[in-house]
Amino acid sequence: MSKKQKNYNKSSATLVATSTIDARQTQRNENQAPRDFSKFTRALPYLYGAVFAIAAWLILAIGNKDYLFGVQNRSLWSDTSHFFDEMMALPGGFVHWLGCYLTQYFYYPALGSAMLVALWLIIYVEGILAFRLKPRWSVAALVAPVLLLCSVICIGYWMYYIKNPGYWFKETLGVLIMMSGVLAARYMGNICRSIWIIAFGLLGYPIIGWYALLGALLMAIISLQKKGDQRIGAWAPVAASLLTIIASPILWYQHYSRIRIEDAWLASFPKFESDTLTSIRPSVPFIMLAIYLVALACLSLLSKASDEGKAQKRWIPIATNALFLIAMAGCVKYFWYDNYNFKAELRMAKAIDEQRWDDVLYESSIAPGPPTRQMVISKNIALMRQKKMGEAMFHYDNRGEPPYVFDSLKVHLVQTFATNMYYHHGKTYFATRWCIENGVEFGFNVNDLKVLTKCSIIEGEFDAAKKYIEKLKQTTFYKGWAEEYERYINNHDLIAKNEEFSSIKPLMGFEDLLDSDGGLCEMYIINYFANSTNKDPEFSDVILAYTLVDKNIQLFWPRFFNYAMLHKGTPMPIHYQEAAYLYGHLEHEVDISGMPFDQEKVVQRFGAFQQMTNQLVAQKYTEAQMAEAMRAQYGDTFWYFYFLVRDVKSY
Amino acid sequence: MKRLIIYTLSIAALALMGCSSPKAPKDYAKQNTQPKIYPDYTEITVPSNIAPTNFMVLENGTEAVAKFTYPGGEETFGKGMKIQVPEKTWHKMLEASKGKDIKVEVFVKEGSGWKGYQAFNISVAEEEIDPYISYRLIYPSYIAYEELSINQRNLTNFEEKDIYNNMIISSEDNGQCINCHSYQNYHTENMQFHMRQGHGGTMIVEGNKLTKVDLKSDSTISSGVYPSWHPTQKLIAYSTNSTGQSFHTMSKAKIEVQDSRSDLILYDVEKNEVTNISNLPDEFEVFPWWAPSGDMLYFCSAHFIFSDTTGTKDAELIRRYKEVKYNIYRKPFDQKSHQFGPTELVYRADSLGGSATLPRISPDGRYLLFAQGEFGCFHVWHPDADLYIQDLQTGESRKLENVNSNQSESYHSWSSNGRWIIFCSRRDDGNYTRLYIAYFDKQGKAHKAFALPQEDPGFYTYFMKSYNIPEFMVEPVKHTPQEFASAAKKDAIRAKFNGKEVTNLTDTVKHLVN
Repeated sequence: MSKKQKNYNKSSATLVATSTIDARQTQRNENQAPRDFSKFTRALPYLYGAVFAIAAWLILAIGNKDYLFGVQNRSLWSDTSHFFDEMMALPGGFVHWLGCYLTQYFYYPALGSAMLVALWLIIYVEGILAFRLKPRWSVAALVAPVLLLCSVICIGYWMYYIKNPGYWFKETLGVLIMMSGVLAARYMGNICRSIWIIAFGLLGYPIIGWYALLGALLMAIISLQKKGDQRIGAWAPVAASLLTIIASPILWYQHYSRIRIEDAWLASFPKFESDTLTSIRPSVPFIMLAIYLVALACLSLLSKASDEGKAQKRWIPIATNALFLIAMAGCVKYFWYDNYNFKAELRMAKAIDEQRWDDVLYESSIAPGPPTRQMVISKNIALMRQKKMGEAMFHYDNRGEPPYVFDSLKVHLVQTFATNMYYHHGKTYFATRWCIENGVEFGFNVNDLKVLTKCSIIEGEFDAAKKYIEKLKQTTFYKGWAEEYERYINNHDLIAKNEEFSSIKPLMGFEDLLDSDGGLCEMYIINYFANSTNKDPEFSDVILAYTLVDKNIQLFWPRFFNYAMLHKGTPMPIHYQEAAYLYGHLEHEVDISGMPFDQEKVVQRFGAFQQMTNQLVAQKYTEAQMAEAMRAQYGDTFWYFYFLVRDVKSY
Repeated sequence: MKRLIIYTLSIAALALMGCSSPKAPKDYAKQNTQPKIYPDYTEITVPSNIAPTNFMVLENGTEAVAKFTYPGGEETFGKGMKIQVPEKTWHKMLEASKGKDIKVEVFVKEGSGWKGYQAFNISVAEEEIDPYISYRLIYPSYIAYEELSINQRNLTNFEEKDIYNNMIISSEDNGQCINCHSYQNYHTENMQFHMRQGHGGTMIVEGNKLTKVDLKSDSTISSGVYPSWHPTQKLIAYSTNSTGQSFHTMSKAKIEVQDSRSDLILYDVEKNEVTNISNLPDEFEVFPWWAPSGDMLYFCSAHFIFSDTTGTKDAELIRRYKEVKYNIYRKPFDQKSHQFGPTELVYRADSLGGSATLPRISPDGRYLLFAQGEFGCFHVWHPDADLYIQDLQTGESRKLENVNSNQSESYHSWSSNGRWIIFCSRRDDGNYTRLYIAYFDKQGKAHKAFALPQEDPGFYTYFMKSYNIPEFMVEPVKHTPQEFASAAKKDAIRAKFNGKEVTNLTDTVKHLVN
């Protein structure tokens, strides 16, 4: 080792290490290497940073834009001191608060993604500096941002159930502040650092929760770098760290009245719990993150010793870098919840909110596999608004399967879509109920405040509407929406002119009674409409449509005739004809011989349907095989739905 | 250097301007009306120790200034459209105005000119209000609950603290509901509240001693529900209830909470013993409340006979929910033998087509305050529910003037000096209950009710929780939430029933099955 090298190594333990210096050292250590290769090594941190930034942004802004828009729609931030106080009532409250604020920016998924990626890049740089990674090892600093990326894209339907305000930015902010603390500790002597560790662990607890304790631990580990230092002072940071980790939660527990003592050491750790399930998988990125950072801090001690005295073989960093990159890519692939129906549901919900009914139907038509029930309901809402239920509701896949989940999370429509579904079906009091129920349990969000506002306006509860509008005015991106709807409060005449209100109002023509949906909102809507009678033409249309979904012949006929009476002079929609023709043949209780059925679309087609059915039965097809074989030709008919779409389970 | 001095002086001057009170305009266009303000604090009577009645001006404009003229001085406040008075100044004004009025003139800047509104008065009563209240904060929930807290608020300022918060003990799979805080004679030395589900039991506080008890036995419908501490003895009267909940499909009432059974029990804290007070088969007895003298127990009861032999009682009750009407009764109580006398009818609401709930006797024993609606027991969700009062000396009953609205009024309570009542009202928006306070003068007349003051006058417009069961206290609760949590983690001590150790058969069977 040259004199120059020795001097550098001696001083590097106390001097500020930067990637630039490390790069210089690398250049010196590897002065045998070709010049262009060392340049490449020096550029590695920038290269990794750039590649990661672009890839992460693409994954978020392109691959997850519907999800991210949905995320901000299911979050809430208020620019009031009360909201700040509420957040600060829990450890880590500050990052919850700031996380809620930044999550709003997913309103523009590209912008929110860019902000998140920018924060990750800072964490990446902090990692390089805090753990003094040489350029050729800078890939190791990418692990934390990659795990944070995984944590954002892995949760799927947990987005409806998570009780962690601002989660999508909060964890990143927690890590960023923690790494800033660790980095600052790098520049301090033992005594100063010990004080810093105690201050960070104590004062950081209300700001970043458990990350403050993890930070204190990391600071203690990096303090051990002075090898061979036997002075008492050398152990002061370790003692300070242990003391802080033990004492800080106990002390703060006396202040907080909303956390359990047993949770105090992992306060604000992202847990994914429901009353029946604790899902580990979405928490794994954070467990990995904590273990990895501790390991990295430990390795940064060891690497120093191993670097001294011997030059490493060139293939080792290359192979390790490659392994890191492959592992990280694999991690992203593994954790990414990339489910078509999940995103389609979110796209359809957005389209419904914006009254883009054709887009809702388009989504329904292009789904590659069986849709979820939420997609089927969304499709029905779009058709209802276009007054085409009787004409086209079976033109789309009506099977409906439960949402795909990676764990045993029980997804219920009452949490994901009931508020919007009830509102569009005129059951505004039930929509209100579920907005409140879900708000109580999972926190209020923009989507439900909008539904609450609209329900209150349409019910004539203008003072309540004012309240929800006030809440929405306190957000960053929904002020305009709130002001738009404030007009209806100030001028009630506008309500009748609003297209959406006008189409929902006729469905509210029912009498008050005490009732409950038992948590099965879709079944409630089907039963409610199928069992209703009403003289309003629009209401009677929805009634008849849901009578078909209910497959109830006894309910069908009186509602069919009611519909016919109320729609005199207009053609009978094809699905209603199909149902009448089928029921007329199945049970000869009603004489259908005089009814003017469409010869081609109903009479002849039903004959062909029967013929094909008989053939397949003769060939001993199972019901499932028949359903598959007949879908292309008859999947758009009520007959197909009646005979071959069975065991549809709502959830 | 000269420039530096100028800059420094300018900044100092600006800072001083920012700190100083605004000035009421000299030139303004006179308006013929009083200003619209929120909360409505116009022409109210306040206690001489209440926190500042900060308000927002709802008139069109960009800036509002309010001039407070009181005996011995005047003060001007205003920032934007909010009028917030510093606590110290406010209390100085109240002190100087005891038994007199504070005149409030509001000016609003619109465009480049000012408008001056008709002044309104805030009368300051001689009598103070109890310095503390406690209440439960709850989302106007239906079935789900998450965070619930019982809070105490210092009425002389804006300080609010959790007495207990269920999140200190609740977990996702073992949630806890809390309710029905109650104190003995306005003091917190002896108090109680219930915990349900997770770590369930009734938390009894006797001085420094915290005990969690289980009041349920196979001989009672449930554990204790609506409580009332005897004013001098360590006795608590409870109702026991079998309660159900259902939802209106098209009514502003939204929720209906009904009892399909309810009785009354007495819990002797010192003996840890439960005895029956009333458990008649066709009566739903509920809402016990001791007279301040301690020799009479008031309660409500609805006479209801189930007639449907095919369906469930709950189903029948849901169908006939409007037929359930409560009257107010009382039973004499011998404080030595702890025996109750025969039931006496106090107020017959059903004959008037109503249902009376939550009897509360004024501290001087003269007045009975209660909530009355068309039917049922859960008036906090009934928009037609109003506060009524009966003069127990004359037997005359009337709807209480100046305090009711077209929304629900309920959960009322007397201050310890009997000059103030506090109650829950949904008048602000129909959905979220807020606390209102009204002066009740020596002539038995209630004055205009006003909302519990908040530091930010806009607070109620965005606060998403409801207040319920406001109870006055002359002192704060001294135990911390952590102490309550610690006591709650212990097993509940089972109360004896009629002097015998209770073997809860239900629990035994469950244990055997498991």
